[in-house]
Amino acid sequence: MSHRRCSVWLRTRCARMLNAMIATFAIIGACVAPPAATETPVAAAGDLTVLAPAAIVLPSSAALYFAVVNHGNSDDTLLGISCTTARAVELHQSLEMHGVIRMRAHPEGFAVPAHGRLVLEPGGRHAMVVAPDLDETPRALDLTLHFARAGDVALRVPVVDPSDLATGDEAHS
Amino acid sequence: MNISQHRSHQGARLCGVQTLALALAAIFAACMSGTPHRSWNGTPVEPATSAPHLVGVNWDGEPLDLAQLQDRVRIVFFGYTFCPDVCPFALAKMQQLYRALGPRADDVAVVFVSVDPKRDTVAKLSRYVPGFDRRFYGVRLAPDALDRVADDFGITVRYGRPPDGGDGNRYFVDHTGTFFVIDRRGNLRLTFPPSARAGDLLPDIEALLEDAGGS
Repeated sequence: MSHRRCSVWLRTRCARMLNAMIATFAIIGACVAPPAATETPVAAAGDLTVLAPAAIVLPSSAALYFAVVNHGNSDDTLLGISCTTARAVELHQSLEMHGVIRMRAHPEGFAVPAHGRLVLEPGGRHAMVVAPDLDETPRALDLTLHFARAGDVALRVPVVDPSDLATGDEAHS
Repeated sequence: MNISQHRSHQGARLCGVQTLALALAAIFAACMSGTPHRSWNGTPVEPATSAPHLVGVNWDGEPLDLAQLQDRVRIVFFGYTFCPDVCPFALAKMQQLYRALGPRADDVAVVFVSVDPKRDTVAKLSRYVPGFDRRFYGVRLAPDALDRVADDFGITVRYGRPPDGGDGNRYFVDHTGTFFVIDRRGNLRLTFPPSARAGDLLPDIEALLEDAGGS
């Protein structure tokens, strides 16, 4: 085989290997990509819609997660949340720096920017249910979200298992 | 030989050198893929050192000595049951890891260590940890033992202040969320950040399980 033919053969071979690698990574990427949260609104008020609510309820703690989409031209603020079966619901944010987890309260509320969204998710912004008055783990929690502009929004939040929300379901051997 | 002939000849030689280099690189890569060298998803602890001493009470009331879990790979992490957001998901990731390991999970000890001995009584841990998996350990350390263990693992534990005029039992605990992985021999081998997924831990844990003998 001449130098030129050998070089072309190698380049073709390398290109094929590269394409195969790209395809493999694309497949892996498609497999491990988190499923898109449902975009079906479960509640609405004014310019706001609420998506993908979920609660985890454990013996000593409970947390709420959801997303709020603001379709309007004005910013709004989630001022607070009330729950008839809890002493209080507080807005918090988990932060990680150099491996250290910190929790900070946000009594001022969370902004919902115009044409933007507020996302409450594990490891980030979330709502903590204080001293839930529960005899057993409920199937859902009934809440009222209080917004500065849009007013109150009633929301039923299904209780899920933490492993349903934890990233890492792609752990298959 | 005129200039154009000379350039053509030089070009052919360069092409040949490139081809040879490519071939050698391909052979080298092929050889390397067959060697036992491993790249870890976690951060290796180098040199591997003996895991710190950790003795407390498990959620079932039995004493728990980390060193006595020998011959098992151990995953140690710190948290508290009043933690609403991060700690439940750390435990949930361990559930996912156990599911992925199947029967091999019995050779992996998951050890959740409370950084909040004031509120996390053994009774409290018994209502929390087995809800994720009864095979998980949920350990309460005496406060002075926790201080020593925190120093030995190099973790941060900071207690927040209860709200003014409020319930003195309501406070946050800032704490390191690292996963510490200990091999079958009892050596601290790897660490993973709090954001690590079960899928990140899985291949490293599998490799440590297969590595019956060594560090």
